[in-house]
Amino acid sequence: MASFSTQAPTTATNPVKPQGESVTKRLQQELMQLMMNSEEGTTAFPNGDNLFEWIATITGSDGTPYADQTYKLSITFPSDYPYTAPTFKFVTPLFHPNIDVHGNICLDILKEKWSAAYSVRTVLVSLRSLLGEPNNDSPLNVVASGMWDDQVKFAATVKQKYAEAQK
Amino acid sequence: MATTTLTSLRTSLPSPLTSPPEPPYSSSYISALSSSLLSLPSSPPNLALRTSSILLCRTSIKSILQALFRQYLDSSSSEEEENDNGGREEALKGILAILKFPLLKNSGSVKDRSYPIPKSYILPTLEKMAQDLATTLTEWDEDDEGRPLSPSVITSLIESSCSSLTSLLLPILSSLPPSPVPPLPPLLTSHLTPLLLSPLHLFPLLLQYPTTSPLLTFLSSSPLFLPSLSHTLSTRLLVKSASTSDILEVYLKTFSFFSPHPVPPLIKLTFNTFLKTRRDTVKQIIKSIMLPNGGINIKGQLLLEHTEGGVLERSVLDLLVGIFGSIKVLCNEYRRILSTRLIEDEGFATDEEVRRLELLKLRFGEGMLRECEVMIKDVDDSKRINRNFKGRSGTTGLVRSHCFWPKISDSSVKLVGEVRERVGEFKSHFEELKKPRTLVVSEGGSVELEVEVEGVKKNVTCDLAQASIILLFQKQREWSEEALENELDASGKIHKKLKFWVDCGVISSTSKGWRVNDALGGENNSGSLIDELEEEDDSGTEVFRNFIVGAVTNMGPKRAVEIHNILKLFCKGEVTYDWDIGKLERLLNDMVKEGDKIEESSGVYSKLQG
Repeated sequence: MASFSTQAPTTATNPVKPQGESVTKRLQQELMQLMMNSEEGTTAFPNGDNLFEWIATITGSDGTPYADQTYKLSITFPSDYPYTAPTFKFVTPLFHPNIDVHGNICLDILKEKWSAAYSVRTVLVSLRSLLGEPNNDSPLNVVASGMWDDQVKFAATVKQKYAEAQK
Repeated sequence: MATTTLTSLRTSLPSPLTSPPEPPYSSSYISALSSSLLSLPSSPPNLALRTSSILLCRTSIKSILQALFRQYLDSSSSEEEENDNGGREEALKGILAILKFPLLKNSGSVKDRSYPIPKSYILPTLEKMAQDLATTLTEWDEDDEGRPLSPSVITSLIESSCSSLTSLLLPILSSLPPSPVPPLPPLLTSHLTPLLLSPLHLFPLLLQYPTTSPLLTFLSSSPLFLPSLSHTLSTRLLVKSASTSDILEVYLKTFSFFSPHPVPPLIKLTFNTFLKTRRDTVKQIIKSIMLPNGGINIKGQLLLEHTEGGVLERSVLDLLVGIFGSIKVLCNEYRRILSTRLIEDEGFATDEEVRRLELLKLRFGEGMLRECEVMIKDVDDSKRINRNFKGRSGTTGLVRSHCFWPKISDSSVKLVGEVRERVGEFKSHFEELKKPRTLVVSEGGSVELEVEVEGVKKNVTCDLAQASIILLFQKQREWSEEALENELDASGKIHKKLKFWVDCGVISSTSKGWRVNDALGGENNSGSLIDELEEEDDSGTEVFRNFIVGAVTNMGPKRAVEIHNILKLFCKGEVTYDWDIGKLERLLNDMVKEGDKIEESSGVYSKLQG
């Protein structure tokens, strides 16, 4: 006779308190996976000796306004990762409909659609594709979302912003 | 010669009835005594009687010993030159003779001459001797006659006297009835035990187990035994320079000494704490399990336990598994070693391995070793496939199932020539037999080749990639490295393989690339040269490269030592970074030279721009 747990299912707001050690282990594993099979155009690494603070680099894909430009991001992992989503933030300023001037990102899988099955790797890949395919229905940067249809102007603005950021 | 000795003895030794001279003894008296002791078994009964009665009746063994020690020290401290070691050696002989003295009683030649020492004298003599020895040695330290004793002299004295003590105690202890504690006089115990419990003596005793078993049993009755043993182990055995296999061997000796009781927690802890710090412990344990005979031969013990239905209270393996607390580590290591072994065995013999695997399964459970089972089955299947193979004779293949074998990397180069043809034949044969499955040629393998340069022949065993390379040189005497790489479809992977042929003396490097030698070169390396260690190193390197690139891309420029620390901190898990910084620097320089990932300026490495 199978027994069923009567406990309430774990949700993101009420996570089982994981031990710090297992979070570290998970992060360690993700890093190893990332290093063993790197995804084109994305890379990430702990920043300093704290495994909970990473820095990531995304290179824009060819054929998008962001081609050949490299953007830095900061990743902060909560202590109950992966039950709660990590915080991704663009450090290099960029002009994009779903990213505000502070580098905050509007991406569903980092918010309400986060699942423990995602990893740094999957998020970075999603972010890279978000660069080329913005979601103009929920813009954070209204100017950018309005300009998206005019690709020539958009690309020029992106380029200008990027050049400014490099200074 | 013999007569002069006897005459001098007769004159210098007093009869048992007269009282012997009081200390201090003259050196001639001492040397006469020691030489008479040395010649005791063959000396006339009368002389033997005199000598032995001096030693037994008198309370002066201590003085004699001291005189001998003094002589020993005098001659060893004053004469540093090699030419005068006579006095020293004589003194040492005398000491040893006195120490061995009670044993003479047992020798047949003496018995024939109705040697006068009664049996009941043995233990009291021994006791007295030990007492004397102990006091002599302890008092010696405090001697203040202006001659400082160097520790090495004391050590050598104690060592020689104790080794003779050991050798004379052993037969005595062995002849005693095997009760838990041999009924030795308490005085002997109290004097001898502390002496023998010092690391200096306890360690050799442990090493010579089981020969020294009676003595160890005798010592183990002392309450100081366990602390001393632990101390001995940590000072003499558990040191950086000791090899893990030696440590394990002593561990097993210790284990069998305590058997059938479990090893006391203190000793276990001493060993386990240290062994945990050793990287290769698991490997050594597994290797020893896999030794068919000899070595530590845990397997033998395992078998024993298995057949006798667990007579041993705890198996050795349990003990060793206990060190790591996880059998998964052991199983993984076993898998790796099994893999090398199966690959290396050209006869596809699996009986031994199957038996061993069954034994391990009893211990670890089926689930842990399922992969190993598949590996062995692969070998059996391969044997069948090879039997049915109709292609050119001499080709055999080991078909390994993907996912079950540890670390299979695909062949690094495109095979050419006959190697390619033969592999192709085998591949189509396999695909015919196992329809939907296909075969990928992996790194390694072995080819036996006969290389002929200008009429001189040489047999070489190499791997498939190396064979492909040399086959290209058959077509054309000189190649540039790029041309070879293009031909073999392998960029940056063939340099080491080329080196193999350089080592064999077949080719050498020129300004343009590589060229076949005019004559076969030196035999600096022949036969199978597939260096396992180097191969292993390569697997990590790829990951370390990615870590390095990842680190400098995201964290910014770093110096070698910083990269070293970063790797140590983060590169753990499937591949663990364990290099020293020198090796890392070589890799960094290699990467800079390759010039597509990182660059270096004044010791700082950074990501290549653009």
